[in-house]
Amino acid sequence: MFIDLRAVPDGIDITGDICVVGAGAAGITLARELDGSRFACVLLESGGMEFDSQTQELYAGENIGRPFFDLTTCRLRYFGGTTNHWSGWCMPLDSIDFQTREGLPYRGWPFERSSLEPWYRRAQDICQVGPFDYAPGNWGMVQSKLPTPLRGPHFIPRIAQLSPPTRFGSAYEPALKSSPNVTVYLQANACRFETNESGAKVQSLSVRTLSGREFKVNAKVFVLAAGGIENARLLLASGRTDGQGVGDGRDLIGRFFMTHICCWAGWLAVMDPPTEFYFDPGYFRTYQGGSAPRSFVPYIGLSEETLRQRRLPNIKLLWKYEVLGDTAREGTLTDLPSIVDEVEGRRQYVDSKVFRREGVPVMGTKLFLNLEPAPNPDSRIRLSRERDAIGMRKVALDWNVAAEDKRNGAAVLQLFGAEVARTGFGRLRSFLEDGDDATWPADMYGDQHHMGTTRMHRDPSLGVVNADCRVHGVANLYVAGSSVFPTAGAANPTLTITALALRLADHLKEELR
Amino acid sequence: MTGSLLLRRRWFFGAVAGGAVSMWSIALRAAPRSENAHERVRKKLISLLRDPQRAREIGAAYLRSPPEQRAPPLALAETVLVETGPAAGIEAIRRYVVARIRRELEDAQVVSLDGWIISPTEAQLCALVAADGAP
Repeated sequence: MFIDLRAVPDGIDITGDICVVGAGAAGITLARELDGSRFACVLLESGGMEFDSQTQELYAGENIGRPFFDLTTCRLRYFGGTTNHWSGWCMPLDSIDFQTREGLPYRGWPFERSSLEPWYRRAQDICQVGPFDYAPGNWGMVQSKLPTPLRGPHFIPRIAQLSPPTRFGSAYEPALKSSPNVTVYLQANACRFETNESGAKVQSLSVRTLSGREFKVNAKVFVLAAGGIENARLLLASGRTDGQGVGDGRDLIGRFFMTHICCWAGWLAVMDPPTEFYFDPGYFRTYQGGSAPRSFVPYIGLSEETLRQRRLPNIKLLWKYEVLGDTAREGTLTDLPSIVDEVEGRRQYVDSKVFRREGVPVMGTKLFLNLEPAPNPDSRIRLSRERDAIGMRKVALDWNVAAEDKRNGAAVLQLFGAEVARTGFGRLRSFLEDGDDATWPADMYGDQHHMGTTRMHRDPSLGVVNADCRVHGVANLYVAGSSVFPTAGAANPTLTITALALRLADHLKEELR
Repeated sequence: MTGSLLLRRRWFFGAVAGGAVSMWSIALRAAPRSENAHERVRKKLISLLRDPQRAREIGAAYLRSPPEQRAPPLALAETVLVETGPAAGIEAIRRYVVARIRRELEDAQVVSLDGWIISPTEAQLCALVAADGAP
């Protein structure tokens, strides 16, 4: 059942067993899983069924750190949430992403990837992608045909599956509309959790409409599923003292804000200008070998052994073919030759277009790096002094990257440069010089994957939620979504968000039984 | 013979042997070599370059990099002289240099010149041309 909160008479409390705040990938997945159970589920959505600028404006906030997207454009506030503009890339995190890493602080989840795999498999269906199979060989990629630098030991081919993409709102609206036990409240803006005296239990949730009406939601369990930024915002807004949120005895809520670091990181001059490339990292492909055509996108990754040995973060490396004119050559070593004759592959290289005289277009590939960020406590969400239309304090996003991020990005490019030269594939020009933060390429940005602000850790001094996604120290408050990711990996987060929501749903059903 | 005495004796012989090698190495490095030996090796190295004129720009960029990030211009010639001997022919030198470049790339031991990633040996080869201005 769907109810517009504006049509509900004053003075009526909303009551359920489980209250889920936010109807995006996580919230809708939770509600779907609870559909048909014996628990009364209340799903609150700030917006309606369509985009509405007045509601969207509730996302407005300040960027007080590195330049970041306008906070009203990098997420969507209506039924279906940010999946309404999701690109559809699906891939699980790697096993190594779940592990603590020597020399790389704050990394690791409280469980192994293998323990999440049953839910990953189920998440595939919800995200409308193929089987839980990400081995490039099973997507038509033949090792012997790969570009030589991608045959290991360091760089390997990877694939992401492409969802249609699933718009969770429209895809799952019919099921929720007909659900006997799930009630979706639209135009319901969660404003504040009210806890008991000790702060150990949430008693109710204040909800407001844009028209200024206020309601109270009572539930046995509350699940916050409002997105990587809003989850922290609502917890911080619910604290009794300024800057300290619910369950936040250690000043952790809002810290460790992570987003994948993206930039055009280099240029690859290939030995022979490609006419047909077998492996096109970043270009959408269709695999015809299965029972039905399946869409996927190849990309370049680092082998687990190299990640471990070289203490590097995870990456996605893509490329884009380009015919470059003279301007792209400005300031470069235009005469980078095959330096030594007879080194494998170099003779052809020197004859390629890379070394033609000026005025002749140069063919190569631009490399796009998507880099796992270092978990950084100084990258954080705070509450601004300004308030939005329903009286909530706005977000102040203080996004920071660490010097380690820059070093890691440069190291990855150097390693790739060594590999393309060693294998005679070509030569690489890195745009990432090792150095201080200011030397990032001007086009560097953080993407729209907002993670880490209510990070998961067994130890309450290092995490906001425990391994079950329950807020430490609060008996009945859970968090769903990418804000619980303690380590970002390089994977796009939606599949993991969905898997974690499924896992949480199973946990709640067990817990409330 | 006690264990500790045995260990000491082994250490003594080891130290003598090591010292001998070191002395030889120091002597080789310190001995004033004829200009001809250096020059011959330098010329052989430059002949490995596919296009010395175009290598000049790379060499110049390498020589502009901070001193702590580069070797002196003649360091490669010196190393090749020590490693292959003054009588080494061009093929022996080529094999040595190619193997050295490959090893550096395998180890991702690289230098960045204006962002281009090349091996230090490649950079040093180019520096030989750039250093004296004449290929």
